[in-house]
Formats: sequence, structure tokens, C-alpha cells
Amino acid sequence: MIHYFLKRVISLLPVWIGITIFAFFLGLVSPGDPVYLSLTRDGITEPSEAMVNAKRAELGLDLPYHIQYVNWINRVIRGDFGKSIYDNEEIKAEMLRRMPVTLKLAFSAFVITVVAGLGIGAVMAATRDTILDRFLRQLCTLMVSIPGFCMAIILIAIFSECFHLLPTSGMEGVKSFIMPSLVLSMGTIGTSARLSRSNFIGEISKQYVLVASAKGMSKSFIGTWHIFKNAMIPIITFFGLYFAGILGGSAVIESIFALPGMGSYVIDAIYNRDYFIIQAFVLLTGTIYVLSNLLIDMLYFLINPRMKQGDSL
Amino acid sequence: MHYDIQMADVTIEFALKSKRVSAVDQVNVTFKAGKITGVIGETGSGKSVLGMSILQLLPKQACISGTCFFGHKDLYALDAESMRKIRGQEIGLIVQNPNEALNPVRTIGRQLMEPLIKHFDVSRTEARKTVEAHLRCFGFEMPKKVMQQYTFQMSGGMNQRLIAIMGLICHPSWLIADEPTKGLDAILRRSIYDVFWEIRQHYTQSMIVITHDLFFAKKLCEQIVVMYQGEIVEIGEAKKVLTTPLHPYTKGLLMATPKAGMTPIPDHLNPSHESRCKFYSRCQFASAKCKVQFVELREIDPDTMVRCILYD
Ligand code: SF4
Repeated sequence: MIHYFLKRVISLLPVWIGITIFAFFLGLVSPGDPVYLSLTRDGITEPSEAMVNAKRAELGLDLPYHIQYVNWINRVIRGDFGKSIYDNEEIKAEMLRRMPVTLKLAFSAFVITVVAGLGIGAVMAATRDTILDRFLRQLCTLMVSIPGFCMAIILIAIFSECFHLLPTSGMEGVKSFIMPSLVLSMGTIGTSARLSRSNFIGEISKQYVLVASAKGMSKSFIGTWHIFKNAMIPIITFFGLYFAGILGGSAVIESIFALPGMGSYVIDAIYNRDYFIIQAFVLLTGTIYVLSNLLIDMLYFLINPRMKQGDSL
Repeated sequence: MHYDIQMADVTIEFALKSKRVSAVDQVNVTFKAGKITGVIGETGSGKSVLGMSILQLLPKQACISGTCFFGHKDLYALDAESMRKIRGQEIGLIVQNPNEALNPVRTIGRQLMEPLIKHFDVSRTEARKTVEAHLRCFGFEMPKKVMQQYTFQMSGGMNQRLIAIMGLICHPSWLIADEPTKGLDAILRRSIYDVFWEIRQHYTQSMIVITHDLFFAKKLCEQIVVMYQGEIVEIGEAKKVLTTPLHPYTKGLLMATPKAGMTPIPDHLNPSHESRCKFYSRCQFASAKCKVQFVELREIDPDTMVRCILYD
């Protein structure tokens, strides 16, 4: 177990380093000079050459890129993302304030994806080729093809405008997360349901299912204790990928529903060319992604006895 | 109480997209309790379909007509729950391909214990004890360890024995074995023979063994049913059928064994549409009589039946 864990950590380390490099250079290549922008944020000051150079030196932006990168990594590892160029606020404090919102949103969307995806997939497999199965299949296609913002508008129209059940924007507790997480999970529910369906159906025709029925086990027992675990193994890997998609998609959804998460923060930052924030966001979401992948890998290891066998060898 | 399994007018068809394919055609046969009956025939002769139909384990597309009485119950007419109670508890199944027959991610112990718990409502401890005893009986020296392992950690021979235990763990009065020697090498074939001998000695003598392995059938079975294209063409005592066969097809099967020089049954000797006999196109004994007469399964003596006009 520990052996496998270390192996995974080592193999994910280059990915994480790649993300840091990417996050860093994203800042460098984005248009606009952050030094100039930060000095002119009040809209009146026209900084002199000397002021620009002094500020540049203060931020360490006059150094060669690789040294800037090392300095940045050094700070970032200690949790110091610098200050917003735009309003001079600590990025770390702001991120910490906003991270729970994004994580809550992403996790609830992820849980909905897993539960609904597997559930709908299982129902489709069990009622294979009936009207219900066909209807759900169409529904899945629909869910995959409607863009998130479009779905958001439809849901707002129904639940906020028509029935006044849910808030359209802002934070009002759990209620505020219902629509955003639904919208965020919708596409992945569609794909994961179809994936689960084909996996479940693939398992139903395996011989161990026949053997279990021949022993006199009931359908529900076979479904829960035999088929489910087998079908899960290939699906788990995909859920890891879906989580990344959900995390990325949350930025847009947060903006639509005006949720004060990391996503809406970074979108504002993009408008303001506040590139330290963008760097921090890319790095943080990248790190969360790597960690969740590690978690999925470990889950995969736990559920699949063949892995343990390979590990002990 | 050991009942016979009596099949009457059994016809099984598969409804495929464009057409219906007949797998079993008007079969009448009684499998006698206390006897090992071998059902032999080529692949596609309908012998496996016939065997699986007894436990209602055919795919959804199968349409069954006729009756299959087990005591006073018609197995074909049973609802799902009553059928479930028969499976494993009264009629057990030993499947082919032992390496793929067990759930790869469920421990062997759990898979062996679950039918005991389901059928007899025993505690886990009791179930575990029973399983351990059976494992020991079938040559596993460390049953506790085996129970915690998975099928992929077992050898082919071990999986074979596990599959056999799986079929008989609840001590059913009947066992159906579907091609137990299919795809196995000579050593494994010998070991499976020992397994069946063990079952016969200690568990049950009422068995239906579906096989294309004539050597295996000859060693194990007392009665033989020969199937060709969904029909029974010969029924008789095993020794008689496999040494002095009556039907031209059975003769051909015996000629095709390695011992007899592997002479294959010829094909396309006669245009098949000319006769009602399904074997006509491949039959070396076919005559003008075969074209006109209706060929039925006929009793030769109380134990023997054959479907061929040569014996009218
Ligand atoms: S009935 Fe005629 S064709 Fe058919 S098996 Fe007998 S001899 Fe051959």
C-alpha cells in the first residue's frame, strides 16, 4: 500500500512541477505590464520611468525569468502568493476566504455526478432496450449537449423566476449551491451515466454473473455485490478526470451565479490583468487536481485486488 | 427425495433481430435420478441450451415451449423467486471455463459462503466452517488462506475444483455440468475426472453431464443422450452407445475421436432438403427410403431409442 502510494506520488510530482512552470509562465506571456498597471490603478497617476523601474525592482520583475521562477516557488511553497496588483490586498487571505466556496461547489457537483451518473447508468443497464432506457439515453445526450450557461438560464427561469424557490445569485446557504452544482455536474452526469451503462452491461454478460445466479443468488444481490464493484473499477479512473473538468468549469458557473469563490475571483483578475492572482489560481486548482488524482488512484488500489497482488510481488 | 427430470416436447428458439433460430427441437427425455446421464453432440447441437433451460439460465431472447417436470413442479413455468430457490439448493450447476467463472474482485470465501447463507440462513461462522470442510475435501490444504484469496491467484486446476464446490456446496440432489472438460489440457482433464468421481462417491449420483468429450462421457456416465441439430438422435446405456452405436451420427462421432483415427464426419453428401432426417446431408447410410419416410425416435428396447429408418 505505502509502496504504491509513494510510487504514485513520485509519478505525480513531475505533473505538479509542470503545473507550477505553466502557472508561472502564464503570467509572463499575458499581455499588459503589471508594473505599469499597478501604478496606474487610480486612473490619475502617470508614473515616471524611475517609478516604474523602482516598482519593477520591488516586485523582483527585473530579474531573469528562471530566478523569478525560483523566487516565486520559494514564496508560494510558504503560502505567499503576493499581493493583488489591482487593490494591493493579500492574495492568500482572499484565496483562503474563497476556497471553501469553490470546493463546496466542486464537491457537491462531483457527488451529484457520481451518484446520478452511476444511478442512471445502473437503471439504464437494468432496463436495457426498454422505453425507459431509450428515454434516459436521449436525456443523457441532451445533458451533454446543452452548454452550462444555457442550462443556468433555464434553471433560473424555472426555479427562481417562476417558483421563487432558489436564489439567482449570492450566498444564501445551501440553497445557493443547488442550481450551480446541478449545472456544473450536468454534462459529466450525461457522460458518466453512459459510461456506467456500458460497463454494467459488459459485466452482466460475464460468466461469474451466470454462476452467481446458478447458485440461487437474487438479482439485487448480484447487482450490488458482484456486478457493481467490477463495473466500478474502470469507471473510477474516469471520475478522476471529471473532477478536473468540474473544477475548471466552476469558474464560469461562479460568475453566473455570483458566488464568491476562487473562480469568480480569477475571472475578475483576468479582466484586471491581475496576474499574480491568475498564477495562484492555476497553481491551486492544479494542486487540487493532482491531489484528487492521487486519492482516486488510492481508491482504485483499494477496490481492485489485482493491484494488491502486483504490489506485493 | 430425489426426483427425475422429465422433459416433454421441449422446443427452444432464439428470437434474433431478423429471424428465429431453433436450438432445441421437440425433445422428449427423462433424466433418471441416481444416474449420470451424458448429453453429447457437436457444438451447436443444442445440448448446452437444453441443460441451461432446466435452471432458466438462458438469455432473454430464448423462447421455450414444452414442459420440464421436476417432481410435481414444471421448471419452465416457475416464477423467478421459486426458481431461485431451486438453483444451487436442489439443482446445482458446474460451468465451463473455470478461470472466468468466478468473480475476480470478490474473495473466494465470500463467493462460496453466500449460497449457504442465502438458502439455509446459517450464520457466517457456520457457513465458513462448511466451506472450509468442502475445500479440504477437494484437496485444498489451507482452506482459510484460499478463502481470502481471489480467483486470479489460483491455478486452472484449483479454479476447476472451486467451481465444482460452488455447484455442490448446498448439496443439491441434482448437478448439471456444462462442458466441464472444454478447452482443458490432458492433465487437467484427468483431474476433473477425479473431481467428478469424488462428487459421485460423496455427494450425488444424479447428474447431467453435457460434453463433447466422449472419452470422459464413457468413463463417467451410465446413460447417454446424443443430440444432433437440436434433436435427440439416440438414447441408450453408455457402454452400448459408445461401443456399438446405432445411429449413423453416433458412429461418425466415434470415428472422429483421436483413438479411432480422427476421421471427420463428411459434409454435403446429399442435398439436405430431400429428406426430413436432419442428418441426411452427411449420412453415409442414406437411401431412397430416407427421402420419403418420416423419421421418428423409435424404441429399440426399453433402454434404447434411435431416430433412423435403418432400425424401423
Ligand atoms: S434416416 Fe437415413 S439419412 Fe437419416 S440417419 Fe438414418 S440412414 Fe441416415
